[in-house]
Amino acid sequence: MKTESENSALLEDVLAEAAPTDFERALLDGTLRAVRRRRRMRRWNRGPAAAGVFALIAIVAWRVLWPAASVKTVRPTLRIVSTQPLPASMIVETRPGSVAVVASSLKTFLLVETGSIKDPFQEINDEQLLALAGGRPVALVRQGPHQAELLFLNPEDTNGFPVQ
Amino acid sequence: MDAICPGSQPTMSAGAQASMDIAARTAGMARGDEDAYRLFHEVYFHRLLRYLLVVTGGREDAAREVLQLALLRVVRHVRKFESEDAFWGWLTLLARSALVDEERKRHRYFAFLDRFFQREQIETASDSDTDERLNELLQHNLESLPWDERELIKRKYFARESVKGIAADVGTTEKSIESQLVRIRRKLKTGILAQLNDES
Repeated sequence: MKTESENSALLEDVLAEAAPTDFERALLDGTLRAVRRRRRMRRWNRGPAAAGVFALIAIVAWRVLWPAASVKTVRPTLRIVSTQPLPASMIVETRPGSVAVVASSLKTFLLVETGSIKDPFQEINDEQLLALAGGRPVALVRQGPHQAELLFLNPEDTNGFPVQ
Repeated sequence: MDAICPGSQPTMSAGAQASMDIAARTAGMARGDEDAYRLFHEVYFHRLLRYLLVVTGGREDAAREVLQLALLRVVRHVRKFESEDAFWGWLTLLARSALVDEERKRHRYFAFLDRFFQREQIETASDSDTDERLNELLQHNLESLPWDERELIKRKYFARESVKGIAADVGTTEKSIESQLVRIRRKLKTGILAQLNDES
């Protein structure tokens, strides 16, 4: 009894005839074709980015090539509007000469100019204010650093009094 | 020479198989490297065919057709394998599933299932032992050869004598020896496949 290793060369030669050389060659070629096809497919399917770009291109191409189609789909149905002449009673007409025109000229008015008043108000101090009271009983009450109230002690004076 | 024996090419040697870095090669195949596929083809083509000849019960046509389908499935599903045993186990699984699908297509599914399960024990045991079974059949057929034919085979394959040497010793031409060897190999192949067929 021969060992398996001693038989292997013979066995290979015997069963090699079950696969002629051209069959072996054809099968290798077919396998390599399938490998190339698969490689191409893999390249095509590489990442969702490719699909996204493809979809974007498809959408842009669609809009460029068939813009009218998309407009047509949103256009409303046609509405016919008929018009008729307006009655004469509803027409307002204007005539020349019906409006009085007033024309002005430079001689009809006088231009008065006022001089610019520098510092129209004069600030007075407490003594000057009290002096304006003309001897009437008054009191100056300070309510804050910049706030004061002048009180007339005679209620009648609040309505006014003659200045001497 | 009137026949070429691809099975005896040096690329089929066990040394070549052993030197194959299975992880790198299968990774290359998964990447679609054509050189990796060429080497795979050199190493596994005849081995897979032998396996399929056993599994199909010696039906040469079916074995060839299923081998073609199995190789396409390899292209589709191959991944990196860390060991040769795992890779070979996967290849035989692909080959068996391709065979089942092919038989199903031929509307002989149920008949096939019967044969398939009857032979299941052989198959599961023969994932790595297919060659052992074939060797047994080869041995059996060798013993049934006439003495002179058996002697010629022994000198060529077991004593590793050259065809030229045998021809000079016998006093004939190399071409005549080659023709005899082709005829004997065909006889052995027919006997082996017939016995496989009988078993199924």
